[in-house]
Amino acid sequence: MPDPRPIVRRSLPGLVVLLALAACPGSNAGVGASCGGNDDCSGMLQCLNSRCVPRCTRAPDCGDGYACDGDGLCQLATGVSGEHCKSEVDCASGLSCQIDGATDDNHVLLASCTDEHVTRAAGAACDADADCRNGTCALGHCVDLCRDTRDCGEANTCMKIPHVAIDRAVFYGCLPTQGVVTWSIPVLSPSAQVALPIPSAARSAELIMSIDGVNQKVGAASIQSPLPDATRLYSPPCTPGVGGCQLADALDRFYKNPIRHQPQPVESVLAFPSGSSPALELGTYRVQVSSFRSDGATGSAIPRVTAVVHLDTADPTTERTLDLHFFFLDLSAHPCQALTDNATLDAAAAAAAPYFKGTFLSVLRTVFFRANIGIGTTTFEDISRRPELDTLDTLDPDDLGALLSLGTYAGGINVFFVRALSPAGLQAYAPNPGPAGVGGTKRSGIVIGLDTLCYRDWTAMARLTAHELARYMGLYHNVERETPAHPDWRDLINDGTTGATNLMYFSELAGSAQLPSGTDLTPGQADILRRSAVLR
Amino acid sequence: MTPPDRAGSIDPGLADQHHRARRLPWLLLLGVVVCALPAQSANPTLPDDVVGVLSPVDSVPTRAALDEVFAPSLALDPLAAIASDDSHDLGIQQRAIRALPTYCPQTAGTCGPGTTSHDTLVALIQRHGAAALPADILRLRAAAEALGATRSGLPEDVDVLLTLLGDAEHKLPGHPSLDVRAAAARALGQLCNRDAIDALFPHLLDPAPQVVAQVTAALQMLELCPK
Repeated sequence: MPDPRPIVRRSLPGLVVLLALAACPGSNAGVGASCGGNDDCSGMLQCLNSRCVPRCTRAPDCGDGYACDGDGLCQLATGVSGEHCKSEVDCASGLSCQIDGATDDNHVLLASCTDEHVTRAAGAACDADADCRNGTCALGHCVDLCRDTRDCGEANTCMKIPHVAIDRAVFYGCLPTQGVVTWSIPVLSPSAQVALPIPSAARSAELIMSIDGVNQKVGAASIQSPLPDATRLYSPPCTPGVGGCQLADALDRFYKNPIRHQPQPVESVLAFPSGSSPALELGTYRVQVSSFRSDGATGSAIPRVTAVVHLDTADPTTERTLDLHFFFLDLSAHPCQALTDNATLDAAAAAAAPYFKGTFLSVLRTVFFRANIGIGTTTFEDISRRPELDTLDTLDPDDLGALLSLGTYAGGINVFFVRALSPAGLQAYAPNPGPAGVGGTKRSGIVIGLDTLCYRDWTAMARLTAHELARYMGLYHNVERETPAHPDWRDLINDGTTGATNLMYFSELAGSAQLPSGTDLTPGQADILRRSAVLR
Repeated sequence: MTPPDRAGSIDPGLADQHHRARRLPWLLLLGVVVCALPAQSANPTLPDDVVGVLSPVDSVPTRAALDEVFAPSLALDPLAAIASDDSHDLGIQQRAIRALPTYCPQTAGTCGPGTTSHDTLVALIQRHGAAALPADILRLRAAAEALGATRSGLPEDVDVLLTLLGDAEHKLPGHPSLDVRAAAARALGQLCNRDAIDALFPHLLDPAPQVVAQVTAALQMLELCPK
């Protein structure tokens, strides 16, 4: 009998292969099954590192050193040190795609694979490129370069971002698809130029400028649009009584600026666009930030500057949400309690009472629905033991700042109900515009005086609250009382909004004495509201 | 000291005639305007431009704006008339009351008896001093605040405001509304008469913390006033 061992020996490799094939589930293999190629895995899976895993939607699904291609397959990055790259996912593990400094014919910055820095990951806060593992710091955050949104992490989009240090230069980087990017810009002198980069997906931008003390003002001295136009978009109004400037001259200059802004004591906000035009441009705006003395000369205080850019890649008409955070000072024994069911209006009452949850919030919902903005989360909190703020003197910057800095919510708008406002007759106060997207500043909210309820109803209260919320979000009065004599003294929205039925009409008696109305919004106004960084 | 204001230097009778003469064009104008008023106007007794200047939601009328609407030399009397007339819309009336100090003589301490602004405010406080209705409380609060804004520094104005705050020494109760007492306390600080300091101290024991806070603020303000 012949020895069978040589036959077995010769057949062994084939046997092993056969056994292996038998063990492999073939093209229907599930997650975690071993595989030799993508064909071994079921349709929605791929073979990665010899295992069937779900196909990718974005590069981070694959891990460092991989890209995610259009078929959802992870592709090993092959870029070696010094090799040209366009995206973080082009470079092998341990390398990152970093800007070289040169640009192509379209002003897009060139980049190459470079050893990663041992520093912060993408998305972390930074002050300089060297702070970031990927070597790119933009809008105060470490940013990965990208070619496509697939290269970016979840909830991020690949967009054009201007490079503030290189004129007209841009790069493609990953930033949030929708939301607010906030960062501090260091300023070292009372007057300094700051760069405000506007990415391609930006809907609005703002600078929040503040100083200590109330004897000087702070704000912008000039704003220049991005190159190549570099148009001056703002000059501060003259100071009445200085150099022959009359109040009307100052107002004329204020209203004629394409970007509307007014330096203020303590804190001011520069937000744009202020109207239908000029449109927000991709590129770096140059803003001269300054403190000012009472005569308009440069002050001695060094401004603190926070930048905010609101990003949104969705269709501009997509519904957005406004959260409202209501705060109630001590309103006990208020003379107008007849309209609060003869009880104290506080957080608990507001959260349940029909006049508030029903009438008041219903009107707000109706008004903002016209801009396709829904009222989202509403929160209710009491502020007790601050009797000095229960009636607010709006002429006192310290009191105003003390109250509004209690508005700690960055998203949405903080709404404070106080007993009354001073000067008497003032029904509400709102910074115009407010520091959208940033909580806890000395202008982080609006204030409503409850004493209006002694002569108006909750519908009227809702109208004036909506009016102030809209001012906080960047709308201006559609017309002022003086507009007939001064046609420029009105908003910057070019859709002919002059009516008294408009939400932004300057007067509370827009419709009639008995039922103040005025809640209309034009498409141009709705567009400005929908750009606000308070929305989500 | 008699403040060197416009009316204080002339015979009271002449002053009265002078006032009546000055009011005449305004009253004639008002009569014409009332007849011509459009039906949708905010207030049936006021022209639209007056309603406009006295009804902004989020600002208070400036003197320049009031002068533009009323004509500079004629502004004060109609403003005082609106401030004194409770039949007007309360929002408009409050703003008119609060605007009166903008027509005080520019020199501090000169807005005293004989000036329309001062006298109208004092009359309002006296008329509504016992206010119990919500609307009257608001009128009173506005008048007290406006009297403080005159910065008259006059002892008689201190007394007027102390009446609202109460007098602990003489066991006179203050106004029942804590909002009125708080407004009076703050106004005493702005009035800038240091004689009010002693009178204010007992009110640090007011049961309402809002009043105590305003008394404290007023005492701090008074420390900065000239002796």
